[in-house]
Amino acid sequence: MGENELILSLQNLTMKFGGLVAVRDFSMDIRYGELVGLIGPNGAGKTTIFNMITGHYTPTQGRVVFEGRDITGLPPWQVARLGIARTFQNIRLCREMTALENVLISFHPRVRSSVFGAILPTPKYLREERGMRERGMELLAAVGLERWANFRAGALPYGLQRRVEIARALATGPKLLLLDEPAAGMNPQEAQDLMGFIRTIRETFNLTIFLIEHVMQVVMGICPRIRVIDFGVSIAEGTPEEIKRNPKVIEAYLGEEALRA
Amino acid sequence: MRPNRVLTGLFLLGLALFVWWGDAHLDRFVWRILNFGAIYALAAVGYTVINGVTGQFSLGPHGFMLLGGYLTTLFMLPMHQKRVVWLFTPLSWPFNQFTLPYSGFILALIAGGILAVLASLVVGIPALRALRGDYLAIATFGFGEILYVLACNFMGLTNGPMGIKGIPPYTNLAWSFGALVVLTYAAVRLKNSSFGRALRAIREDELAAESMGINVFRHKLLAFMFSAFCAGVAGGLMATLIGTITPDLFRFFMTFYLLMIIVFGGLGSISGAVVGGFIFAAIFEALRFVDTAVVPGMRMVVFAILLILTMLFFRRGLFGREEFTWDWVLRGAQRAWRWAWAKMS
Repeated sequence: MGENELILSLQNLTMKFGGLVAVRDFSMDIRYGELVGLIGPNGAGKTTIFNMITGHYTPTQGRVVFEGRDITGLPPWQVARLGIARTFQNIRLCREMTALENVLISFHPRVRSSVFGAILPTPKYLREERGMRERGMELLAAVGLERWANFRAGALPYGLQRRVEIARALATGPKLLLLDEPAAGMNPQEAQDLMGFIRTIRETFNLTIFLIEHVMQVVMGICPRIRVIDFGVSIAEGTPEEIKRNPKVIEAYLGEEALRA
Repeated sequence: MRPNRVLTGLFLLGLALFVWWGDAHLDRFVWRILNFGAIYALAAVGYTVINGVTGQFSLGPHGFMLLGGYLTTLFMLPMHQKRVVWLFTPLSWPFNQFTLPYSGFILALIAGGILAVLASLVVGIPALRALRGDYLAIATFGFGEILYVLACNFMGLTNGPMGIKGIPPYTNLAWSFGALVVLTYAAVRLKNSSFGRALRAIREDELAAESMGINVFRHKLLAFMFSAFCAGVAGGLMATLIGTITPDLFRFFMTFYLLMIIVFGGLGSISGAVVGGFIFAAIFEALRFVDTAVVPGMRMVVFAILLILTMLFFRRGLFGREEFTWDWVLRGAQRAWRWAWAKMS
């Protein structure tokens, strides 16, 4: 298996916050076209791993290699431009802007006109703006949101906000999409719909998807390969069936259930 | 789209005619208030781009106005005046060598704006990279105060606290309204462009904007530079309207005025900044009697109370974040017409 088949390689990532070790010695390889799940109880360090990939945190130790290039420590906007897009656990839309405008934000880094061109405006800028709006509408249509295009994002129902956020991430033209608990706060039916939606966009946009989930049942349905972490340490990896039977995983989750009760 | 363009064209034509007539015939008191209104509006438009649209709390516009004011003055002050004003310390090179004729006024204003932009880079590159919120406010405020101290002490350029008098009063309605129209157009275009969407995204959620590939720092700097340019030009216009300039003209209270204007107009609304600028200038003059009749400085107390009332009763200001549109006017006119028609019949 050649190195070039890997889209993302996480090598011995460790993240410390003062004395707290959030993630310890985490390694993982993701191949092109894969749909991988990362699960673990609350506070296991899942989002911290995402934040290290996207450059929001610089890992204390270890490397993040994307398409054969070391991207450890790059600022988030550069990571995004290389082709890694993400959504957030607690939806972070620009609530005062419309759904379409939210998508258009992601096109902005590829605008070629200068700011003077935009102010005047030059014909070149107007062409770009028209093109962006068309592509934005196409994208919204592709994810079934075209009729909500001119609604204020903050006014949309929760499930649709989640989809707008995914559409906004898709608009950056990513190769790798990171979804942070996309089904958080959804009832089982909505979660099922969302998983179908994720499967569809993966095929339509030819994506590699790495997704965090807290609820096991959700991720079992769509991810052929799942990694489990607990207290910042990787404890298991395998197919959903293997994961379900793994004693360490059962303990981690039962332990959490016991704590809840 | 089309009828709106026609209306805008007619409005600008009407404004041009009014300015042409007003410069010659308008009562000097009203004329002066309108000039001040346009200058405050101009500085406020720039200020609302960084504070309102981009959501970065800057307290520095008085510093940029000071720079624009002094540079324009140094360019335009006649030679004979340059010889008599600097009594103790001679005027520094190169300003003791030349002065610009009236035809160079536009260059002097633009130079003032550009100097302010350069200063905005000096303060913005370190401050906007590292700071936000209250800390950014303190840093930019400190910058304004540094400029004040410099203006008091660089005698060779500013003549210190004694100031400079005898600046030819070139500013008239044509200049102040002209600058206001041009830069307001630029601000509106900027806000509605892809760049403006990036700025608004930074205000709404900086982390999300950054994650979508937007270079947050560069866009904050862009907004900061735009606001500095507007403030610099406004400072130049103000100095050449009043005819004298002292460091005290651009102290922190100037930023406080502008802050009141943009909050009253609606943070992030360019229309609000323009309307707010004129209302501020009008009320400021109307309340002059308070200073003379009660205690000097009482005016600011009244202003503060007005601002508190605004915050209590319409928190989002006059316009919120919305902009003036002709559709809005037309709908209002239609409603008024229907109402009047119903009353009559």
